[in-house]
Amino acid sequence: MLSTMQDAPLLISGILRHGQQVYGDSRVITIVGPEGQSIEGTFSEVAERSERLARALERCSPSSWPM
Amino acid sequence: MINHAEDQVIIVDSSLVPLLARVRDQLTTVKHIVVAGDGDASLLGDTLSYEELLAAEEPGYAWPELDERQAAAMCYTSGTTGNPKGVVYSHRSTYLHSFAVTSGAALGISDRDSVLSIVPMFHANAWGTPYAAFMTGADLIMPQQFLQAAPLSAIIARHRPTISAGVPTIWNDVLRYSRTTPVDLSSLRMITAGGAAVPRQLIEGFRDELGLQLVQGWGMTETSPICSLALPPKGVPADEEIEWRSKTGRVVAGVEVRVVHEDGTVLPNDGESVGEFEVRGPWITGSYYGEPTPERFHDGWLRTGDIGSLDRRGYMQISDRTKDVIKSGGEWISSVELENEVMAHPGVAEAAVIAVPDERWSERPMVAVVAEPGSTVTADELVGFLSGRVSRWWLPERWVFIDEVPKTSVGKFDKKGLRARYAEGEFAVVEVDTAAAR
Repeated sequence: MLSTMQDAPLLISGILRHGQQVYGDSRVITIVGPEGQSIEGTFSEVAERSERLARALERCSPSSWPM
Repeated sequence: MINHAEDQVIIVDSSLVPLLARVRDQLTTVKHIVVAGDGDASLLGDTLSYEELLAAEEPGYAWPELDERQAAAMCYTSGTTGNPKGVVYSHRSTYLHSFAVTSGAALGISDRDSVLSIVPMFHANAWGTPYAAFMTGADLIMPQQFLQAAPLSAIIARHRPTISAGVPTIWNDVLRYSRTTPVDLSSLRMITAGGAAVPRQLIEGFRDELGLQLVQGWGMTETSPICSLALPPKGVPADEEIEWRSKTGRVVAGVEVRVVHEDGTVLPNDGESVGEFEVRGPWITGSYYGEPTPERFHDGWLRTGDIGSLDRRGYMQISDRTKDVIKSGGEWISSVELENEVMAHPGVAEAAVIAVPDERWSERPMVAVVAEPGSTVTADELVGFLSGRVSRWWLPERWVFIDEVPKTSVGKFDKKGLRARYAEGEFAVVEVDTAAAR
């Protein structure tokens, strides 16, 4: 007997969007100096940059998407 | 690797431009190079600026609804044995692996955590920590090139991570640094180490000197990587925990492990039968990219190249890599176990054991020792120290003292390099009459 469950694909874009929407204030801290000096961005900022990068990559190389 | 993977776009930090420029002419598939950072990129010729590309685009993007089995990322094995081989992760494998990493059976990550990922992204996706952070809301600390003990200690004191992941070599450096310089690592509730066997005395050192739990994990580039973590079972008395923490680890849900004899028969999970580990699961690779290697697979299971035993509760104990084990007179000597025993000597900072040819026994162990600064430990003393700690026939006759154990790009002992240097006669080998110590 088959299940009644949906078959939504497990995609890493889903992980990114979850972090963006639910944990948008969490931070990525990038170390830039030997005493721990840092720059940081929130998950929502990182996700927005990912969106811009995805658009740019699509423009650079339209054939890169396999589907 | 870039040609083998048929990369079309490379995003490179400007600090790495000179490195990439050296091979630019050989790249046959790359259409665009995107440079991040402010450094001079003129060595590469025509490039795009990462920040300019992003600035030219609008935010918002309709992520395509792909088949979850499509490629999402790629890593190459570091080639401790043989040439690097490509592993292609799918969206599905990455998603399921990330769940496993966040689960309580592994790191137990939540939005109360802050994760310092010392392991770099090119080393098996930083063990899944970036995905795990976005799944759970944990803050993510990326140390870039500041991977030495002093800056790492400063980073931990300043940014107060609760979890950190790195190779044992780096943790060994941090522990030794803490003996001479005051450090504040008190924010950490869990340190994980993997990528190479974690010596028992390193786990004990963190426990006894810093009050920190160092948890050994095991996996490979081919396995995404997490397969097992050495968390003790419930109900174990505190003074016995170390016996479990010193094991390779308990298998996590989603991964199946078995031990297989050289003749292909599956051995019992009795904690004693020793053979090669084979693994299977939704985040274990089923082939290598563009390279038929049927000998690395067995009835749909990945042959790991690691030798050891599995007990009835799913705890793995790896004794060696198939390529590193010393085949002496028809018996096996574990290079890893011998290294751990040598490194238990207080005058030894690091030790690597390799097999060298021997006329009588076919192979014997040779120990490359890095002494602690100021230590005057000798090969004779170390043989005496090992007597009673290992079987008498394991006692190594050949010793060499070196300034540093050479490491691979991901911090593993480079035993291939050590074997080559031995074969070239580069080492001043000290011979010890081990019969005297027996």
